[in-house]
Amino acid sequence: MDLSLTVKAQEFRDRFAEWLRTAVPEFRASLRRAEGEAWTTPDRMKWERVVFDAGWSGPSWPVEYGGLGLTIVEQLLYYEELARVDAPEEVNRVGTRILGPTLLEHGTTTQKQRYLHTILNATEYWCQGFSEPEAGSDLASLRTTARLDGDEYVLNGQKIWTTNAHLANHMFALVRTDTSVSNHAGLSYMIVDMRTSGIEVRPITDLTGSQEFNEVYFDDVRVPAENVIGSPNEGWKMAGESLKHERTVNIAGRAFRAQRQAERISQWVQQTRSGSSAAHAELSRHEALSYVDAYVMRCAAYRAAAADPEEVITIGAILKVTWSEGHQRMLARMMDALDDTEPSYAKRASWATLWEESFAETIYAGTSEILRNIISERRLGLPRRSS
Amino acid sequence: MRFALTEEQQMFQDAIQSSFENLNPQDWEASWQAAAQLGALDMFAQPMKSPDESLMDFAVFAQAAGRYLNDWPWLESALWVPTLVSITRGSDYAEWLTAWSTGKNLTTVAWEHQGSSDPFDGAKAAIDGSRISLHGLKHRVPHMSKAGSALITARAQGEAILLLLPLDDSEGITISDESPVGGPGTAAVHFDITTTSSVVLASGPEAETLFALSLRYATLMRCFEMLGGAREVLDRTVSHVTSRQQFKTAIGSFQAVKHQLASVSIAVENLAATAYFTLDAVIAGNSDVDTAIAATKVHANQTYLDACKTGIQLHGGFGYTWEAGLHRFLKHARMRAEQFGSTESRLREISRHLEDSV
Repeated sequence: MDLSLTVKAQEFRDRFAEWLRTAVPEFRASLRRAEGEAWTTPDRMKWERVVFDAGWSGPSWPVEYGGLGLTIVEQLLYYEELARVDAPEEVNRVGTRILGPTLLEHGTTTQKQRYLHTILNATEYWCQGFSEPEAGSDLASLRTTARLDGDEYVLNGQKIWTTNAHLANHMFALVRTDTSVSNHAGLSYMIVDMRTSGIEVRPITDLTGSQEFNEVYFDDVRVPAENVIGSPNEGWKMAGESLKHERTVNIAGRAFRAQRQAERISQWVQQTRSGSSAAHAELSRHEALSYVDAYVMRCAAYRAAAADPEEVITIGAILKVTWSEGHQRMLARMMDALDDTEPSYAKRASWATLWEESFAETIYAGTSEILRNIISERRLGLPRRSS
Repeated sequence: MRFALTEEQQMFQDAIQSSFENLNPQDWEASWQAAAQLGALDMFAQPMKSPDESLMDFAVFAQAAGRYLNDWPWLESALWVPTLVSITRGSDYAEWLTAWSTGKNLTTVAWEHQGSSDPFDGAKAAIDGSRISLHGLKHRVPHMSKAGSALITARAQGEAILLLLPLDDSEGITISDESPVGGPGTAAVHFDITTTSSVVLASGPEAETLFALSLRYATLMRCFEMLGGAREVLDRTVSHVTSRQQFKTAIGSFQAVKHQLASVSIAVENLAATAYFTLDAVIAGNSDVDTAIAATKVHANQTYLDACKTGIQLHGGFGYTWEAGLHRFLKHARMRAEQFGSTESRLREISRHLEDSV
């Protein structure tokens, strides 16, 4: 695919950048947040409304559904501009980038009318119910069952690592609707109202001390059969196949955030650099290595966006590993550099949070190990494990 | 920006590969003729006063040269020096080109000086009327003993100068071969010569600007060459672990093997992405390309060496033998990592650029 920057794309970028140049400082001022101060989850939720009200929501969504209808290269520019000004990151990411596009492709007219506009205007939040205690990397072995009873399904089981389940109005869940067939068959994709009786959400405190993800228990939870997206028992295909480009853009957005952090590392190094020439050289090296890591990520993001359909999965896997491992390296070096040189506790702490969070990045959305299996088998053609 | 070849470039690549496949990569003359037959010389002989799409074609050529370890000075002779000569010699360029197109003007470039990031360091020149004397030492000069002429960087009274020196007379030139056994040809060259000052191509700020411009293209093409080499090592290793059986199964089915090759594949694909992305920025004339080129070279150094290290390891004992042929890639990777800015010197350069940009 040719990713040449068209005049239209450049004009779009310029208009969006111009809006962000004033909107972000104004938003920051309205919340009395200092420059560089981390955004809280409520900040980020408010920002989503600001973006919607200004007409900049839904970069990948078609115009007829209220989105911007951007090409893939324009979407990358969109996320690059957001990263450039440290705009708050989206909370409703799984709604806008995963469920929304899935509904657009597979949803019924009723489902589209009911849910799409509330995703876009950020009045309803979503969580993704995929992983289970015994079904992590091996997702297809999931055990939560949905038994058809009249015109309702009855759900029993447990989900885990459910980000923002405590905030969400709805979950889109992958559940087993047919226990008589093999793993991948017999799974369905359905919408669950989080206020339904029988649902219990228990927060999990993560490594950083935050409570963003949760366990979700289902005890005879009744879900209308019309909440199934697509056909029953075809959930696996939909969960994997329809979202490949969304995943690429999602990770690309994170790579651009990492690039912005490399710029901040550079600024910090240049303010801090003093003392012996050896310490000076070491900081300069750290700064340059961060630039290289971030540059490679950025190129990998554009390369992934240009991927042909048959290589989207493996090139996407390459991007995910490149970003997550490169970001971890960058932050680990930063922590080493801060140890010796940064007297400000607050500054050290803000980087420490990012560093701690980075430990999750090689685990979620496909562990590095699973992604290396995918690359070696599907890209390099190496034989699958012999049984 | 484009990450894939056009149909035409794909055909060109196939033609180069099938031509190079049957060549002895050490045979300069045959390599030159093969390139000429493919029309590559005509294509690259276009004066390149500003970067354009033909650099994409050259990137294809560079990758093939890396894959087949072409050990003739294709980069110096087909892109770097012609670029400078076309700019500086103007109307004389056609004459020079005639000699060049017959293979008589295979050229090398002597510019690096150990421990210095200034490409004009190491050699001093003094111009006296129609004569010029040149003294000094240049390192990592490829193919010095076989080339017909050499582009040399030096300083004359502190000013940068560029010389294109015919090498038909070796008096005053001492070549200390530094080629690794089984590796590409390279030497430290000591100059102590006096010759006609017509060898001067450019001087002063013009020389510095022109050299920086041509070095930009050359470094990026070197990265594409390294990409070709790394890809070849990866392909050979994938093929080996797919056919080599132990414990009654292909060793490539073991996760410990798969994951190492996946890591090489990630690095190689990222080198391709980075090199093409940077090339696009060069063609577009973006202002910050030097930092991007330095980053690409750092990534190329690491990727090529890692591909060789993993390739040798996964070939087992056979990988450590001359017969496996991986030694040539390893030595090539080591040499290329040193040339055109080592990792450490390129990292220092990136830091300097970042400081300047604040």
